[in-house]
Amino acid sequence: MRVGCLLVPDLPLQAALRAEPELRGRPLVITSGPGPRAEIVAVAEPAARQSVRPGQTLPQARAVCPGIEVRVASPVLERTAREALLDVALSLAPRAESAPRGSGLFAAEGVVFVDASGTSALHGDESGFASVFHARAERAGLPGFVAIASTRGVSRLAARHLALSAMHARLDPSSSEAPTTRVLPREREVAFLEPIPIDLLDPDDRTAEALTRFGVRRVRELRRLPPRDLAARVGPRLLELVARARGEEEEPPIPEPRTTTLEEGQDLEAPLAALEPLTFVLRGLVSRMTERLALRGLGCTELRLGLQLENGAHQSRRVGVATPSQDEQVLLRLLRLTVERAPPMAPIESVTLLCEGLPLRREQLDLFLPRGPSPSDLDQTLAELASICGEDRVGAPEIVDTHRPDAFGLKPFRKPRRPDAPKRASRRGRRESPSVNPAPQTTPPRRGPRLSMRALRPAIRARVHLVNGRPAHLHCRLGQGEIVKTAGPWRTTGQWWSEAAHFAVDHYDVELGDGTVLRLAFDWKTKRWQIDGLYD
Amino acid sequence: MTPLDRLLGGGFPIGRLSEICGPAAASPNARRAAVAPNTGRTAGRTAGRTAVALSLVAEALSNGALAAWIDLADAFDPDSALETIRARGDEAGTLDRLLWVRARDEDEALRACERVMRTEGFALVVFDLFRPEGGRDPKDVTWLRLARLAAGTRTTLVALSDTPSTGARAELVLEMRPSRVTWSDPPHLLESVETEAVLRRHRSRPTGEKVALRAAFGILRPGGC
Repeated sequence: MRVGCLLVPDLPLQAALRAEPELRGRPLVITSGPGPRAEIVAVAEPAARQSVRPGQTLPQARAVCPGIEVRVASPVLERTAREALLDVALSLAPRAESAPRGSGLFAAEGVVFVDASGTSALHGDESGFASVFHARAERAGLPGFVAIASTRGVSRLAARHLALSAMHARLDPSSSEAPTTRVLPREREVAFLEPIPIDLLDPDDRTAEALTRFGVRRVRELRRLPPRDLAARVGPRLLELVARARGEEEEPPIPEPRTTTLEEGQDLEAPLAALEPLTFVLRGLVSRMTERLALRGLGCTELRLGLQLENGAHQSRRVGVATPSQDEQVLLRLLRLTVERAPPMAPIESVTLLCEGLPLRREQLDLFLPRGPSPSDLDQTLAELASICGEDRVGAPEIVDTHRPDAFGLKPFRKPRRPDAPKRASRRGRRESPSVNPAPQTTPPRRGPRLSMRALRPAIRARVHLVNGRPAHLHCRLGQGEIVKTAGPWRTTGQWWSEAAHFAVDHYDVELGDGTVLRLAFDWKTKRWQIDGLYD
Repeated sequence: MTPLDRLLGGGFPIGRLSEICGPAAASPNARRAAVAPNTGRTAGRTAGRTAVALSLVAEALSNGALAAWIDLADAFDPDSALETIRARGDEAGTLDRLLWVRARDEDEALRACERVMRTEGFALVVFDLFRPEGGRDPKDVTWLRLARLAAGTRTTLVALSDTPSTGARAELVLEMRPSRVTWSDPPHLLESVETEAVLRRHRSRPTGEKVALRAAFGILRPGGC
């Protein structure tokens, strides 16, 4: 098996730069917390050149480099950067996994492994694969080092070695540029491992101290010692270290991740009260999200926006996307409309964005049916209509399964993926011109318009004069007059088991003197007459 | 609706604003007075304009296209729409291709209509302004804007109104006049409404021509439990 390892040495720093690309090239430092006593945990190259080092406090760093930019380490940014690394790996092979966080010197590392077996057909050779891996990580805003070896341990060591060499090269202007990728053939792994310092194996403190006491500083020296005797003196953890030094680790195969939920987030430097700057933050989140979606070949079907407010409250918004989409503008517009519809009640401290992904499908066009709006256009339109009229007032009409006279339903409008096949037209039908949008196909024999009802919502109260128990005269907001024809009553009752939901209505079709035909109703619960429909 | 197609010379124009309205009335007061009997007027509200509009929608949906109903009056009745669709032999699922927008006021309705018109791909948009109790009609500049939006698209925009309101902005104005309500023999049951469709405005057809239409009753009677 061949394993590729992508290693980003200063993940908190790269995560901050990924969220704020405008800070690239600036003397940026990442601190462990807010306040002057916070320790610097990561330093960008321009600051490192001016002797700012991890472990210093902020005042110490400002003394040597007054113009430094400071950001507090953000767990959410770091977590999402780790996930983005995994997405980069998954864009190259289906089997990839994130490595657990390192310790000590390597606590800030971001590492991801990918199964690099059998990739030569796609990328030529392993060095081609490593170059593509590195380039994709760089495009995702996470430049790092890529090494390919036989085991995860050796590939990680090789990548660490590359990172260390690059750091020395940066600090020494006379040295040449260090490489960013390395391919270790199996037969050269031992030769590579032997001169490597023990510290790169990331031993725990107790083991490192014992090995230093024994004068063991490089892998070469460790490999020469009998492991069982050493383990008896130093502890069983040493056996793991020796196996790693020999490139003999036994590791389970790399698993295939199954989650398609992506997360992006950002802690804000200062609480945001206005929507305009929030849009700016959302733009960054959505941009990073769509890059990750593109890497995974997924489309967003649902967005969940979480807002942590200054007053401690947490608000969340759900945005449905009709068709899986990677369009940054569409997703941003949907989010903006959602926030504008119900602005947060207090300034925002942090924003998280969860995205449900689905594999993208290409739209199947039909030769005989009108194409209809594109999914992204339709999404935007529906979102804007919901913003204008309210989410519960836009959709496709639904026939509800009830006899309640005033019942109607509205369900989310979705562009049908596979419309029903149109009916075959008769010769006669093809000769006739259709009423709207003459189309290649025509319709079955026409039966003329049906008398339609216009609902009156809410129903209009009426006063009705009865003669022999039947409506004879009507008085309401629409006017008054004699009823010339009456049909009915049609009694509708239901839900008698519930006091609140019970209904009992008598309906009449009545014609007024001017030819207006109304649907008149007598509500037995309220003992009132009302007009709930107009025939037109 | 073959007679209507002949009257219109091929149907409602694509990429243009059309109007289906009831008979013109001098003022809202006159309209209100018309409800009263013995006035000698035939300005009843049952004129069949909704039936014609629903037939247009049913035809567009039947062709596999999408349609939108911008409902200022909140008067759209899904049962009537379904009945019209079923009368053509189509399935109930066809109604899923209709976008129903229930606007709360004129401003919302206009904004919604403009937004839908800007979305390429709707074959038919019905802008339903007909409110039996009367209401403010959009200004001429609004119709001008909608007509311009419709121009150059593949969408048929149809305004459904009580009285003619689009003026010179509509390519086609069809006035629906109530003629006669037919009831069956005892027991009296509503059978149909006979109306007259009069071509009030058309760019290429002679105006004033009329055709008789008959909208048959087809709504199922409620029957609860």
